Amino acid sequence: MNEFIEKFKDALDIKDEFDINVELEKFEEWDSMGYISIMSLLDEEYGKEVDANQLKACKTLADLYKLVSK
Amino acid sequence: MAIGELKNVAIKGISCCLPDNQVLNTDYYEKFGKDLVDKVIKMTGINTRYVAIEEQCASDLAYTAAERLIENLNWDKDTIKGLIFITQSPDYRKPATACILQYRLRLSEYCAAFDVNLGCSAFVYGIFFGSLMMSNNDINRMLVLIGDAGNRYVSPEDHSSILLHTSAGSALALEYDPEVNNSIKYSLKTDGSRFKSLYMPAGASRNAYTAKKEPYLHDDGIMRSDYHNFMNGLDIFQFSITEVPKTIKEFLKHYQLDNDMFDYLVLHQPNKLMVEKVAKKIEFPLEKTPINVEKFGNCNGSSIPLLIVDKLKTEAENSRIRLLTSGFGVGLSWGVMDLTLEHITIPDIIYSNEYYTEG
Repeated sequence: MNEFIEKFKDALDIKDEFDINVELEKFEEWDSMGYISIMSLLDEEYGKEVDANQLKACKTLADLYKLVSK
Repeated sequence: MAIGELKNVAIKGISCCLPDNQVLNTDYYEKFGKDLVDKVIKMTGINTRYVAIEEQCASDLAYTAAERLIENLNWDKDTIKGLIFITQSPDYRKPATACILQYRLRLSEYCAAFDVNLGCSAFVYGIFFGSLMMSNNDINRMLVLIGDAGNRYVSPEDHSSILLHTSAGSALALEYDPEVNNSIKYSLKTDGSRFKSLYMPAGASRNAYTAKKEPYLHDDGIMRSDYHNFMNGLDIFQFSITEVPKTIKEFLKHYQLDNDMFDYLVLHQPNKLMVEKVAKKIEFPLEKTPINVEKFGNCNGSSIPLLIVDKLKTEAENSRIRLLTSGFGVGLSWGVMDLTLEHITIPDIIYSNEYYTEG
């Protein structure tokens, strides 16, 4: 799970520290381009093909993590 | 499945024309803010683009590309019996711009000419149509012209699109040749259910009475009118990295082809990230996947011809190269092709601001 947080930070170029329950809305990087970076991350690193609605439905980083750990 | 083989067709030449008007994306720092522009540049890889001057239409660029190609091929214009213009930026609602191009190019009256409304899949469709037209009658030479002035329809406030598009025209010369051994294999697909991912809501018949000419704030936070181009970048990205690799794999499997059999993977160039993703997902080596979107931006249907002219000219002129190529986008419409180029004519990229003054 920590690895996932690090990958998320790298993909969006975020420096802050936070845990898995952080709200995604808090990040200004969580915008249309951020979605693309994360879609790309999930696809490449976790082999998960998600669509826009699945991404936008995620409120916290934990929700996002559920998409890859399913 | 729309999958098959086209026989006895040789691609004789490819040319491209861009407006002689280079724009730097960093010029938009003041308008959109440095952070946002740098982010778009980082994600798309696009630094410079070419934007048509106000008077210049897509057909002007395609016309210039065609004239140069005919000249370099030394073709007698009376031998050209077919002209297809693939565009989403026609000169007029009617007639078909291909009719005007037939006249401007001074082609014979014995020439079939029509427009096709497709965008990023234009290259594969163009070769498909052109080849079919020569398969069963006395058309032995065809011109397939492709042109778009995508930036013309983008809201000046739309950072999600305006930093991406280039206006470009290209010309492909096709010839019937019973001596050609390699067939051109293709697969074409369509998913109209997703047409709103990339479209212009107004300007034609639908919504004609309700469309708003004045820009208004959309859900994505961007001011645009109904006559402007709308793109849901995320949907298009998802489509490109899932459906396109899937179709390419399906195609290779159907014809029992292997990545190793191809010299290059030649993809439509919407942005650097998408191109690399598609290549990675089909496990095609990146060093054999040419990319030039950083220098030219997204040229719609002319991306693939421009990539060939820009990166593969020497090899395609002097030897034989086998390409795995795919165009994908607006429609949604996409296709894959197995295409061999051998000793073809490729003029250098033309930069021109010429436009038709009789229009």
